[in-house]
Amino acid sequence: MLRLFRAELKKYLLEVKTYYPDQIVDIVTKYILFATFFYGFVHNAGNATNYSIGYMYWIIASGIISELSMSISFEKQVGTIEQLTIKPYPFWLILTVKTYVVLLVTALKSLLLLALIRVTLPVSLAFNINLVWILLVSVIGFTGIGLALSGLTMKFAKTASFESIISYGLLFFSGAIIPFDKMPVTVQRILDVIPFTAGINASQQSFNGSFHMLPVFLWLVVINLVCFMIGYWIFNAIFRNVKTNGVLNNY
Amino acid sequence: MYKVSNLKKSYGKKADLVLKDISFDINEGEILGILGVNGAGKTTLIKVLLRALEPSGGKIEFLGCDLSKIPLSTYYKDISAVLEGERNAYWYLTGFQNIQYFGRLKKLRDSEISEEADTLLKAFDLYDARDQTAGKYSRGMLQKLSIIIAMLGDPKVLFLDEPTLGLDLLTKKAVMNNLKRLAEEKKTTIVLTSHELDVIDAVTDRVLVLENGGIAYVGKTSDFKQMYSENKYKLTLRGTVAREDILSDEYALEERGAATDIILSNISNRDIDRILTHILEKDYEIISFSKDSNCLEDIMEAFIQRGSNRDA
Repeated sequence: MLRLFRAELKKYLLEVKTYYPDQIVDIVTKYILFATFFYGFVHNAGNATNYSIGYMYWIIASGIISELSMSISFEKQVGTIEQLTIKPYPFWLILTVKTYVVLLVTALKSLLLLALIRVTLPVSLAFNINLVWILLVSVIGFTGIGLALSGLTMKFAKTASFESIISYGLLFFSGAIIPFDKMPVTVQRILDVIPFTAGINASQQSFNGSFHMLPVFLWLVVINLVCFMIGYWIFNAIFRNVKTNGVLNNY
Repeated sequence: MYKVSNLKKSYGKKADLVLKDISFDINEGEILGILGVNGAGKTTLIKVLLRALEPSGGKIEFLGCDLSKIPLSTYYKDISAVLEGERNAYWYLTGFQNIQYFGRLKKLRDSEISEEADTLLKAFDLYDARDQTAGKYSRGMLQKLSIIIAMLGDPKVLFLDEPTLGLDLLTKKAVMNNLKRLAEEKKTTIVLTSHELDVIDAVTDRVLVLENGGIAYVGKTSDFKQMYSENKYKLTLRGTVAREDILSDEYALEERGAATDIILSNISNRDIDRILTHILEKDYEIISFSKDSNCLEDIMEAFIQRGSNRDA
């Protein structure tokens, strides 16, 4: 597992080095986006912490979901997908580790940018250690959703094209645009069992002081594991189907 | 190594069978060539053995175990493949970086990868280009790189789908020599498909000929050549030869300067006697008369022709 992570990390760093102009553009764009969000939008809003948490979750969740399905789409396009399916590591694990590597590098870049924003702009960024583990547990659930979508991309390559709709749909439910308590009660109850919003809620509670660690932790673990298991099952069911119908290489 | 029994494969429940109830064995350490016209089921067969495709019926045993029961993580440590029409390397990585990446995915240590990479890169004459990005490689170099990657970790079985397609003569020879060496020295079982029958002829121990999804022949390559080779002779006479003097319109006549070649294909011994007697009576001077050795290409052509006659 560690060897797989190292293999993907080294390969990704080489990719970053090769396509460094893309990275520069990404860093500059993110700086402008973060600065606009934290200084312009959040600075003038009533509850800056809640907006920031929602936005951060949205970036991570949409990053994982889009990276998983875009990876499949990319490997299909360049023609390396079948090679990856005949390796001793399970195919879903290779894709997941690829995604985590990208996420790790993106997270490091984002942390550096946030530090830069704090130095260059009059913005105060709050931090709570509970955020780290809530986020780590939430990543499990996001991976499940990403695996389900990448499974669909494996069979229907064009699924990846619709990924941005799902990503921006998530932004709507992040609480960064409309606060949760302003949403209809039924929607709020549904959102309680979705890992994405459950993580945001738990993170917001940890800042507001209304946080009971054990029940929240257990609830998060359960819904994220269930979400992961469903995504994992969907991915493998579609993988078997694709192997039966021989459409893995179709693009 | 493999025991395949009543294997069937179709792409979908209502689709026609691509592989129709086929049974055969693959022995340890042999090079098996899979032959057949386009659409005969060669690539499908390789992918089913590779477990990149699920079979629709039948049973495959690998080293005495039911293949479907072997965990993929175990199976893929023992086998490797170069698939036709696939890109088996990333273009932005150098040759060596590609080897490192795929070696790590095979759970090999970096030290093992470096050691093997050096040997294989030298054997395939790619060592000097190891630090060039794969995007700058020629088709032949890419194909050699793909085979090197597939050979990493000494797999027990190597599947190669059209490994020499589009390669120049020298590269093709290098690939063929390395495959033979691998089979001899490391006892690797190699299963390959190729439309280039000189490759099949040069490297394989046995051939399996697929025809419309069924097995038309499986056995030693030499036996196949023997069994299906035509009785073909080449008669060279001095000067120009009139067609009526060779007593048949079937045989090819080819004038080349002061001599004429006559190819007597599919001819019985009685007809040879008859034609030679007639030729001598007509005072032609015989320069040479020899049995023409059939290449595998001719044999396949004859084999396919006989197949279509059979069907008709």
